[in-house]
Amino acid sequence: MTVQAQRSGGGYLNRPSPSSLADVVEIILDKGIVIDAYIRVSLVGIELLTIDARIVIASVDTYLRFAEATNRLDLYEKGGKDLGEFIGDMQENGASGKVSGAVKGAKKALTSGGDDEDDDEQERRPRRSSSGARRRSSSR
Amino acid sequence: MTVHPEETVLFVYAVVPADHAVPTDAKGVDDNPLEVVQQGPIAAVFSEMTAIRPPGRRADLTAYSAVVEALVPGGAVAPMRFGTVVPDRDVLVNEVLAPRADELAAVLADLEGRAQYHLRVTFVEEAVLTEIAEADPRVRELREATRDLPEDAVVGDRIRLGELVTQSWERWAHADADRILSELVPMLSTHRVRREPGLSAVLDLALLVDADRSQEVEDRLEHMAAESAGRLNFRLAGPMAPYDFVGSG
Repeated sequence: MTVQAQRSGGGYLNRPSPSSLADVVEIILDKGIVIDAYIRVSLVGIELLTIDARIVIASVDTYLRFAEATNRLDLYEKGGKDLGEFIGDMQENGASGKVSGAVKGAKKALTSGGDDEDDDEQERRPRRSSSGARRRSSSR
Repeated sequence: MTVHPEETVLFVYAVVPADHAVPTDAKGVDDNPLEVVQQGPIAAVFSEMTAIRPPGRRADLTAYSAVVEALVPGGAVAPMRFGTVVPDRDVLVNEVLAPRADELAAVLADLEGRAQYHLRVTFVEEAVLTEIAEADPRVRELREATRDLPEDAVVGDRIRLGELVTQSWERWAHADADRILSELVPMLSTHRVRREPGLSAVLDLALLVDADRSQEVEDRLEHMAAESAGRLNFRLAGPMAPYDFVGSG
């Protein structure tokens, strides 16, 4: 998730491999010419694929996730994790497991096979990162 | 159309100009050979598929994508939506191609010499959350009031905190999206914002670029990504077939 890790060839612009299935799904799945439904043409098999990224998370859950992420920030002074943050992490892992589990489960039908890398991140931001604060300060 | 198991159907990949050089060695879904059927100025690229199961497997999607991309070097390509299946050639010619041959020929003519890219710009979470907290004293106060308490305490404050943060996040996403678009759009043939700026992405953009400007666009994006490093992530896929620019999308 760090910028540095995604750079290729010293560039800042991340250029994913064109064959990455996760990119293919994200980019092309519901695009292209659609033939009117009344003629004898079918769009079949789509339901399985479009579940992905259509999971709407209730706004309160979203607020809570962003609140937690904001509270994890290392804004001023903190050196290491304090106890509150540890407890927060543990509880988050329990709760967020359900949400991300559902997203992953839907996506798994498609991308179970290994090359989905980090591409299932949309709709799940902010993502869990216990060392994020230190990474941020080192990237500035 | 009712699909009966064990029936053979035609899986349609794309519409191309009638004189398009379709690669003869390319394989489609289920490794079946590609076939072409012509109707006036246009042609459809398809392959046979058994109807024993619906074409929703990952292998089908990658096969579809590989075929469409293999058509790109030969000229303009208008991809069909993934999963488009017709019962036979007669339906393909007379019900799919013939009624919209002129319309599709015009679309293809417009796509000639142009390629699509897909740009996705996202916030670096920690950086932007920090900016939000530093810019908004209410966020800082609520943070102080909630961060060291158990999760089930002060839930109202937590929700209020998250609400303030997401509002800022969305507002800033719009601002950054506008800034990027204003710099980018003059270089593009056309573009389509695929999803409004929001929590999941600052910008989710399909770009249609003239081939002779693609290097310029890539260079500009590289420059913008470098300028925003640490705050914005830029991810650019393509060039690829113009999935977002074939009309009824």
